[in-house]
Formats: sequence, C-alpha cells, structure tokens
Amino acid sequence: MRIVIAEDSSLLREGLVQILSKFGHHVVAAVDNAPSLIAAVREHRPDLALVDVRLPPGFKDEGLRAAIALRAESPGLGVLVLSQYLDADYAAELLETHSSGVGYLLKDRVGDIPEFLGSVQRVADGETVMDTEIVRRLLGRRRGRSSVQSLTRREKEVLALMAEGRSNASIARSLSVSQAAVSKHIGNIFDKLGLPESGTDHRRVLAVLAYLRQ
Amino acid sequence: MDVRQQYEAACGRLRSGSARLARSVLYLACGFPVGLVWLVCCVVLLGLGLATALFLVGIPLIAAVLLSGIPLGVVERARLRMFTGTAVPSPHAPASGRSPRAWLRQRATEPATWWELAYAVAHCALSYCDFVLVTGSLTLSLALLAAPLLRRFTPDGQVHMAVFQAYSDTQALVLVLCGTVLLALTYLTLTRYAAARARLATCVLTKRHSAAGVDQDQDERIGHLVRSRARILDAYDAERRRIERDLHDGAQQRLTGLIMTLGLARLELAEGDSAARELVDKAAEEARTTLRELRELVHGIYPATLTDRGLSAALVELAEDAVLPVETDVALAERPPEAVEAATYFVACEAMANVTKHSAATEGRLSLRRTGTGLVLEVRDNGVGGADAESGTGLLGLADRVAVFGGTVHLSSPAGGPTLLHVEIPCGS
Repeated sequence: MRIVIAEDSSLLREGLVQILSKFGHHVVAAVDNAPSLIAAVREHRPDLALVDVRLPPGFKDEGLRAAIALRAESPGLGVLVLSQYLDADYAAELLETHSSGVGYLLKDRVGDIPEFLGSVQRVADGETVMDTEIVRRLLGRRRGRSSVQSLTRREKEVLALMAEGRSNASIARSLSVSQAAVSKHIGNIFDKLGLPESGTDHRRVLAVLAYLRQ
Repeated sequence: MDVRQQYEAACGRLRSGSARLARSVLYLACGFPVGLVWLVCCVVLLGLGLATALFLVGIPLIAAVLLSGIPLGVVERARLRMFTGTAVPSPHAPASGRSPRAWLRQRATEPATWWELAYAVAHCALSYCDFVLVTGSLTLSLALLAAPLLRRFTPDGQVHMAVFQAYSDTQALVLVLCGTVLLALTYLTLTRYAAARARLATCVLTKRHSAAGVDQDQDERIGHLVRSRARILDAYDAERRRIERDLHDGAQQRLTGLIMTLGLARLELAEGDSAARELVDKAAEEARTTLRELRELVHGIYPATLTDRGLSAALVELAEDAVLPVETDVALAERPPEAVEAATYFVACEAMANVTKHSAATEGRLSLRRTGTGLVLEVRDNGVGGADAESGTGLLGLADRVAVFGGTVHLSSPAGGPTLLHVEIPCGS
C-alpha cells in the first residue's frame, strides 16, 4: 500500500515509517506540515494518508483540516487521523464530512502494531475506524432525552464496536455472543435510531453519526 | 541654665541661623544662572526654529522650546530638594511606552508639562529680581559692616554707600550699626522670601494639575494596578499554554515513541520467549497509563479545545466530562478575545468542580450567552445549596479572575438549594 505520512515530531514520523515499511507498505512521502502534506498527496496519489491533527504552521487542527480537504479532492483516498487528544469533536467533524474510509486513533494505539496495521488496512479498504476511547466518550455523552438513551447497555456496546469499524464476526467474538445475536442487536439499534434500510449500506456509520450529531 | 550653656545655645542658634541664611542665599542666587541658561537656550532654539521653519527642520526645534519646561523642572526640583532637604516628587506620570514618540505624546498631553513651561517663564523674571535682591542687600550690609576698614583704604577717609556717608570714625561706627541692623533684616527677609519662593516652586512643579487633583492621582495609580493585574493574568495564561505545548511536544511525543518502540520490540521477540514478552507488555502498559495520565494533566492545564475551537466547544467538553449530567446552552456566534475566553473557561471549571465536590447535585446546567456589553455565564445545580462565597478560596479566586475585566460574580445558594452562579464579563467587540 502506498502511504503518505504527516507528523511534525521526527521521532514519531520515523517510527511510523519504520513500522509501515517493515510490514510491506510503501511510504512514498513523510512530511512535517500541512501544506507539504497536500502537495505530497497531489504528487504521489497514495492509497492512504496518515495525518497528525496538530501540525505546523499553526499547531492547531491544520492536519485535520488538510485531511478533510484532501478527502474532498480525492474520494478514493483513505485518511487515518492520529491524535494526542481525546477530542471527540475532531472525530465527529471528520466523520460528518466523510463517513467511510476515514479513521481517528489516539497516537498510543500505534504501540499495538498488529492492531494498528489492521486499522490502516481497514481505512484503506473504505471502512471507518474510531478509537475505542473516543467512542466510549461519545457514548458517554449525556445529552438529555434522546433516542440514544433508549438503547440498552448491550446495544451500546455493540454500537461502540461498530464505531470502531469491526465486522459482525469480530463484534460477536469480543462480546462472546453469536453472530445472529449481534445482527439482532444491530437491527434494534437501527430501529431505535430511526435508520430504515435503504440502497446505501452505510447504516453502520450513520448509527455512529447519530450519536455525534445529537 | 549656666552661662556656658547659654553661650553654647546662642552659638548653636547662630550656626543654624547662618546656615539657613547661606542656604537661602545660595538657593535664590543659583536660580538666576539656571533661568539665564534656559532663556538663552530657548531664544537660540526659537530663533533657529523660526528661521528654518519653512524647511520643516524648525518644527521640532519649536516643539523642543514648548517642552523646554521639562528639563528646567528637573533642575528646579533638584534645587528644591537641596534647599528643603526632602524628596520632591515629579508631577509627570511614569513613561508608559519606551518609544520616543510615545514619550512625546504622553508628555505633551500632561498639564504638568505646560505648568512647567509657565513656571520657566515666570522663573526667568523672578530669578533676576531674586539675584538683585540677594546680591544688593548682602553687599550693602557687608559693606556697611566693613565701613571702618574701607575708610582706611580711601585716600580722603570718606566712605559713600548709597544714602550712607561716613566722614569720621563715629560716623563709621554708626554705619557698622546700620550694617548690623540691615544684615538682621536681610536675614529675616531672605530666609522668609526663599521659603516662599520654594513653596511656590513646589506648588507649581510637583502637584498633579487637573480639575480632580488628588482624585486623578489616585485614579491613575488604580489604573496602573488594574493594568498590571491584567498583564499578570495574561502572563499566567500564556505560561499555561506554553507548559501545555511543551508537554505535548516533549514528554507526550517521547512516551508515544517509547510505546511504538516497545510494540516493535514485542514483535521482534521469539514466539517462545514468553517471559520477555510479558515484561515488554508490562512496560508498554505502564507507558500507556503514564501517557493517559499525562494527557489528562495536559488537558487540565490548558485544553487544546479552548485554543483550537473556542469557548463554546470547551464548555461543552467540560459538561461532558462532568460526573453528573450537565445540560449546556453555550452557542456563541463569534469568539470573544482570548483572555476573556480563558477567564470564562477557568471560572466555569472552578464552578463545575464546586458542583461536583460540594453540591451533591444530580444534574446541572451550564449556559453562556452574549449580551450587548459582554458575556454572561451561568452555572446551576439542583444540589443542597449553602455555598458561601466567603468561605472557600475557590469562589474568591474566581471573582478575582473576573474582576480583572471589570466583571462580577453573583452567587445565590440558599440552604436546601438550588445554587446559581451568575458571572458577567464585559468584553470589547
């Protein structure tokens, strides 16, 4: 897979390059600021951009902005945003603009390398990957009477795993229940959140978005 | 009191009297050269200025003449200090800016500058009179006292001084008597006159001139205090942001790097080496915990959300992080100034901490709205009430923070609840 990395800390940038290269990916460019990221993606047309939220020149959310802009430019590009912050709003913003082929992970997830490589692959394949902590935070949002309140504890757990981009089989394994049970829970979630079946099959992402948009 | 004591007392009086006379004479006589130098400088500057005014070169010279009272004021205050032996405060406010332009603007708008110029003009005329008075009266009295001596040196033994003449030793003695009386009169006159001149100079050169007088003086000092307090708070917030940035760029990145390296190390370890893998896993877990704690700490110091996304987002986040359900209503159309955002945020933090710790509330509400003049933050809870603004340092510190902006804090917390904290912070634009 061809990957562009944007990370301002040279330590982490080199670490990422090392890990990805070691496992057969081709890092075509590793840059340290947002304008260079945009230029690199336009030049190399990679499959995935791995982007830090806070990047020079402003050290605010330039990385996130650049990632959103890049996705608008080339819809096939997978965008995995890495963050030092537990900021659910950033994740929400990313998901609201693009509901597939995007991911938001806390930086320390990179430490679990097989898991991290899996996330990279899933985002490149067009799935959505959310950090467990972020999802827990989103689910923990207490915002009065909403449809989310009507979900049972188990349904919330299922939704949390869905938000991480897990498949039904994976969710079933995690919760030690049958796949049929998972399907039933997901059906209930869609019903309670008012997500009727339609031609587009992104109901899983829409379910997560339902939390974010409340 | 014996004779010796009386003698010593008399000597002491004479010494202090002559010292006083000498000081007065010196004070009055020195004023003349000062005035003269000022006058000459002004005439030269004004002449040059007017001559070259057409080429614009003269304008600053003429301006310098208008401000020439300032250096004269400095010299005059120094002379006053020497005469009175006490400190003589300057009527000018301390320079607020470093640039010469700021200094000029400040000085030109101060009444003290113009009073000094007026004093300088009056001083020129008065100091001339002072000089004539001092030298005339002193010379005459000393000459009269020296009349018998002078008679020896004149060829015809006659002495003529103003209205006084001496043709004989008896007459010369009369002149000495007159001289003594005149010296006594000179002493009385000059010391009193010098004191009066010094009082006049003190009045004109040291007081803050304005309609409000002392009040303005106090207002200015309070203004300085308010500004310095705002600067301290700004520096404090800047320091918080710096620490947050340093931790983010330093310790957090290094820990993340460490976690990555440990991840790689784990993969490198052979399948069978389970003891080493366990150790690496443990190390990685500890590093992750440390990073998590550091993340919380950094967030508490200065939340990135506040910097990046503004007050509304930061308050929503604050409400979400609370252990009790907190409803929020915090939509702001535009971001207030950075300092106001920080103050409002940390006030809300303190208030939420109080709600969590002391109120035993089951739900809260956080609202922020814009009014015509500023922001109104309200934190409500349905707890037990009885919060006292006087008891804890928390609420007091929060009121202090808001007071820097001229804001107010009102706490309504009857026993049994509910508690409502109402904070108003004015903010320009």
